[in-house]
Amino acid sequence: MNTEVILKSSDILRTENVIKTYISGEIEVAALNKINISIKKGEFTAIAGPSGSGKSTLLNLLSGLDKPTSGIVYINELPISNMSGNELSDFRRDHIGFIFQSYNLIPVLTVKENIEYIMLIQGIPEEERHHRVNDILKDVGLVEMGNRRPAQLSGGQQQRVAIARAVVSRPDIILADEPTANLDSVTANNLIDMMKSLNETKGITFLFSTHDKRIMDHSKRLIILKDGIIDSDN
Amino acid sequence: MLILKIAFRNIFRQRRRSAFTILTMVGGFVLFSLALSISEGTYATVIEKFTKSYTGHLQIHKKGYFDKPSLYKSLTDYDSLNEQLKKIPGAKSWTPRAYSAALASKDKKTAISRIIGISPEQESRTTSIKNKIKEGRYLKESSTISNDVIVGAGLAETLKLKLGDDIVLVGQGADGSISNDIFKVVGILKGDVYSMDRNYCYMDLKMAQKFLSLDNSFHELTIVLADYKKADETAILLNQNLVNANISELEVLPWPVVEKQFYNTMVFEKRGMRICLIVIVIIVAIGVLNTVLMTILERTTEYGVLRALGTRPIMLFWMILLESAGLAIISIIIGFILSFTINYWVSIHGIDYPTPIDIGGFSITTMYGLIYPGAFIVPAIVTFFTALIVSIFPAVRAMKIIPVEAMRMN
Repeated sequence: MNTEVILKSSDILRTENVIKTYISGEIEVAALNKINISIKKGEFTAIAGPSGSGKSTLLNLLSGLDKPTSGIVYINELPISNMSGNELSDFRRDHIGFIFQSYNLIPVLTVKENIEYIMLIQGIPEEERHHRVNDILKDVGLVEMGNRRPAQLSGGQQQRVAIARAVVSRPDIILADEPTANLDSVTANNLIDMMKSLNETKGITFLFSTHDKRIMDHSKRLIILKDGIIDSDN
Repeated sequence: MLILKIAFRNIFRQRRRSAFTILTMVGGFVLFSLALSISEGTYATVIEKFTKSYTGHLQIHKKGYFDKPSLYKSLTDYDSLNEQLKKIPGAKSWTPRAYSAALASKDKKTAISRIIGISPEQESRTTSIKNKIKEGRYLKESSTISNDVIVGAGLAETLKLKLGDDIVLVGQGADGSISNDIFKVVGILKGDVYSMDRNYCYMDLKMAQKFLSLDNSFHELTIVLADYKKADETAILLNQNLVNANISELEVLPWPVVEKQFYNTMVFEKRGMRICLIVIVIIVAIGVLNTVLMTILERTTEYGVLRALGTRPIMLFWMILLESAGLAIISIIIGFILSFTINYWVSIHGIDYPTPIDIGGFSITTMYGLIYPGAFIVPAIVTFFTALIVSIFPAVRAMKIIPVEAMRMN
């Protein structure tokens, strides 16, 4: 299915009364309760909150990796909560970029091949793919590392590759789950600067789930979650 | 293409595990191939020995003779048949025979005997009767009619016959007369097959034709081919040629029809071998299944990430199947090289049985392998598809991975 859509409003992402509950033994636990947020194109937003506040759960719902118990998640005004398995796969492939805490690169592929992976399953022609890979390698400062495997890179370099992979397919939004949690402070600062730069120069929309004060400080908008509800949104 | 690349590189990711899987598959391939090679080799040896000892690969009779033998259902035109057989590709040699029953006696002892008239030289070129003489000598080819006979060990024992003894045969001629004559025992025959040396009495065909008043006719033409496996198709071709040449009222029978009981024993023995082959397949299947399941478990997070990035479940399915196919192909290549070497050695040197075994009435002391395409093609197909089939279940499990749960396992 071609999931290219035309933007109908400046909201890239929005939720309507999203509730997520889990059953733990015989008790129903509310992880998220009536979450209503909207993210506009070009935002650099962080969702913060203590452990167990529902940050990662919210990010999973916003990316379509998990389904809400009730409520609707819209991306580009398309209700992703109702999509089937393959539709959702294609939608994620074409519209959402992921950056994970533990990088999650494919170990048997080189840096270039990892970056190329999503474009390949998108069916982008080879010439265009190589052009984009070379450009993004320059942006993330890994031109010399293109033929290395993830295991031959440091944690910071791996996360750069993960950022390059997320950005290169030109998604509408990049969802980053604790992207600096496994990095030392110098590397983390460099990465935050790099993502900020990509946001400002290329207009890429970032939404973080984080504990990291530095990301919160760099964010244009900070949403604080507490016990599954939005405590503040500035 | 990228899926193929990932699948191929995954093979070399857990080298020890892949090596173990390849070892299992190579072991299965080699055992499978060796079992087929020895099975075919042993049966080929037995069939060759059996058919060449007496029956031949094809027999021509007057129509109806095989089902209900009769002195009167004889073949008359040997020269025409000889010409037709010369045109048959793969027909190595042939020999005519005449049959009848007779009463054999020595002194006061009497026994029923089966007279077999053979053409000594042609017979020795076609079958191995000459080599089965236990005592005395084989019949001599001569222009004059000789009263020499070779008797089966069974008949010799019944009548207490020794070399040089006279034996009286009384039978019925084709002209209705009573035929009788005195013959001289020049040889005693002991065959591989029990029936060969029972109460048989072999004499020169010309003598048999005279004794049975058959003129130049005979009852059977036994043919040996270069390849016993071509008996059926050659029988059809020869039958057709005989019809085209207006030589009618004849039937050409391949050895599986002539020696139905022996053939059925062979088929039954081969079926028994299948159980052994199934066990080998199960061992390979368990080995591969174990590896693939371990792999899926270990890579659950990775598959979850691939799904999160937008990889469709079916791509994961093919990725896993391609990895198994890659392992199978490597195993098949190694297995082929190893099994060819082993099968070749066994085909030359053979493997001795601790004690001789009996197959179809033959005592076998050594089993030999046979190098033939099926001994490699069948194990290759079985190894490849076993690897694929057992990978389907783990691959389907990988397809069903829920990304968010899979990534939590990191």
